[in-house]
Amino acid sequence: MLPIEIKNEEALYRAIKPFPNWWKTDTNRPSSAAFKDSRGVSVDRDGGRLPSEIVRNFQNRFTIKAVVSILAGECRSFGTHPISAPEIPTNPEHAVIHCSPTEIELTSGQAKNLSKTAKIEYLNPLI
Amino acid sequence: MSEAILENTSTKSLSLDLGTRSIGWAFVDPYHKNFFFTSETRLIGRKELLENSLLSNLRTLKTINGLPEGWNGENSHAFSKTLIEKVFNIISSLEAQPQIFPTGRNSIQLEFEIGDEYLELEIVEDKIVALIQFGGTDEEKVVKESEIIKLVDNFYAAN
Repeated sequence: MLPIEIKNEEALYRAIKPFPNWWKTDTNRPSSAAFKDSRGVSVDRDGGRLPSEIVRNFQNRFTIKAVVSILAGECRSFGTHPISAPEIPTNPEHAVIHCSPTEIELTSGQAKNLSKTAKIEYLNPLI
Repeated sequence: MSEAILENTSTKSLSLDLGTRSIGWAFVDPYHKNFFFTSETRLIGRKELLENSLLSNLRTLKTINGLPEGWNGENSHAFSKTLIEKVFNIISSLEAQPQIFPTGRNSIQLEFEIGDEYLELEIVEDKIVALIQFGGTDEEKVVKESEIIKLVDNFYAAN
């Protein structure tokens, strides 16, 4: 079981699905729209796994266009609030990123910062 | 309800069925005088936009219009016809076309981006939130629909 506290150096992974299209081919980045969700931004913690293992895990659950990652510390530097949200038994590494300790939906600026900062871990150019 | 975009290649007219009525464009040559249109049809003579970004955006809007209940998982909803029509009205009034994306919070987002300069309009039924990151500005504010053309013009003037 992962500790509840998410350390700053821990990477959080976000799957970008191909439909609807949230990938901007001109900038080769995800749109910030991919980080706007009324339930918070759903991510998976690394949990000591390799990025390739995390990508495979996403691929087993969804059709994905891309997987991006961002450090929890970077999320916090934008004022967002990553929270552990394990789904037992299906996804114990699950977490969500909220706007703040009291608000769920990110501001537009926070969503844009996440989309700009996120590191591309996997990209399928064919879909 | 049909969600088809009707494309008539001979008249270059497009429409999006909103259930109770259709909204659409008729692309016309400004020098061609013999054309007919209804009050629901916009006439656009900007040929450079016709077959490219505007058409592409109408197709994107059609896709968003067709997203079903639950498209983004539990508790996500189909987009309202009111919101689709609001976005349609905005993009059809713009000279420069944005990229369009749905969000998982019942809004549709328009993005203009040139290098590090960025203008975003997040449209919900009752408000529009602009994220302005250009010309040294970094601001997030609620804007009126009537302000959008000027915002976009300023963005391209600064770039």
